[in-house]
Amino acid sequence: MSHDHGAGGHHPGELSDGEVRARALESLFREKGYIKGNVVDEIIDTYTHDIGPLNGARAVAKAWVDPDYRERLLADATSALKELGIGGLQGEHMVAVPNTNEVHNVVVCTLCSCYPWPVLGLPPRWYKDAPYRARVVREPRKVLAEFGTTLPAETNIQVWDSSAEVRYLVVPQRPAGTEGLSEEDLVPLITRDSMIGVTLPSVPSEAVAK
Amino acid sequence: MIGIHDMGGMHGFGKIDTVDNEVFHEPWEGLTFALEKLCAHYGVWLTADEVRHAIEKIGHGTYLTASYYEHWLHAWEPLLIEKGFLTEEELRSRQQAVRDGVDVSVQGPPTTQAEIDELSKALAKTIWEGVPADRKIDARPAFSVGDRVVAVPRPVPTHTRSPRYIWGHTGTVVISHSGYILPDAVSQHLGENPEYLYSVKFEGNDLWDDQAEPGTHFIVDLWESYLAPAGTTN
Repeated sequence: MSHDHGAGGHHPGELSDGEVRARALESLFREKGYIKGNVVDEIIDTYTHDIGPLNGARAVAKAWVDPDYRERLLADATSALKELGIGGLQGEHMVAVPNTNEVHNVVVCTLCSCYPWPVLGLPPRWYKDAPYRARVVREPRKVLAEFGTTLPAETNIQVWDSSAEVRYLVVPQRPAGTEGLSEEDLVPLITRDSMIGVTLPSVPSEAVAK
Repeated sequence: MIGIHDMGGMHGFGKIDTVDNEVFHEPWEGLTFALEKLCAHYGVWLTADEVRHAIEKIGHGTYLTASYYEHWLHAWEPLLIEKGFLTEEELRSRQQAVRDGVDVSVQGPPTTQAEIDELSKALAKTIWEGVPADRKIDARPAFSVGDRVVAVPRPVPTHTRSPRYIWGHTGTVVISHSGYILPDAVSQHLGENPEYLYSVKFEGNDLWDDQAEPGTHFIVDLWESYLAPAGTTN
């Protein structure tokens, strides 16, 4: 992907400003020897295939079925995630915040877009854009409703603004009707958005039917 | 600094486009992400806060109209030039070449497999091991969990990580973290100057008056020098 996708094939004027700037830098970095071999592809590959929200989902599913692990996750998320081989850049200092019937947690970074990359992958576009960053620290109930999440009025909402290097992982509540599911079967129910706190885990239709 | 990046609580941004499941939307976004790792590796910036401050300085118009990865590129260019990695002229003429549809794929200087492996290993180490920002402090923390604290206004023209929407408001310490590098100092090359960090909880009613939604609370991570004791009201 790194050296064979220059501007060829595009007509002048079709390229976005970002693409122009990125391609120019890539070209200069290669000319000066800052890019060596396939390092660009390797990084893109890592974040496209090895690092993503599945990591966080594995930890949450384990916390749902294993009370000891849940306790370790809530006491020291950085270490508990490391037990599962999860950690690294932007996940050096993790705190897990559990949702309960009384409190629902949501995460934002109003000043930039801090996000736990090794746990949830790279952030979705809406997390980085102005409307979410501006509004979720003022009207979280309305914001959650836009994501299709309406919480009971008696549930408090806690919004965590990660303005330092601490990154937050929301541990959603295990949905009712999933008692019979194994840890492995629970993983797909735990979405990225539910670990940011804007949605609740999805409930499999078979579980509801039972 | 008081800038457009500090957008917590601002009105007028409209609805959220809530669906996005792509890691990179265009190949150049992935490229930009990878270039960021390379810039960090070569010391174009030394800390996250140096690059955050560079993004804060790209201009309010650009900040609002450019995309997330465009912010990065706008922010790096002055740093790359200032630190001698490339010249303004090189950059502008190469950008023009890209715009004109010239093939800018170039051959780098000769390199050995050992050099390639070394760079690849160094980047992987950063990605998988991270760059911890916590530091040991000998002094005792000034605040403990349960303390009432005021977020002192920080209207500095330089980098700070205290968002404006909490300035002057009183909250409660809910987590006492260890020492962390102080962004204000390190972004200005004044050393790490670590301070204790706290998660401080503010009530919606206190921040937003009669506009607050019921039962909403806001927790912000704040360094010790951003806070003052809230007196004896606790």
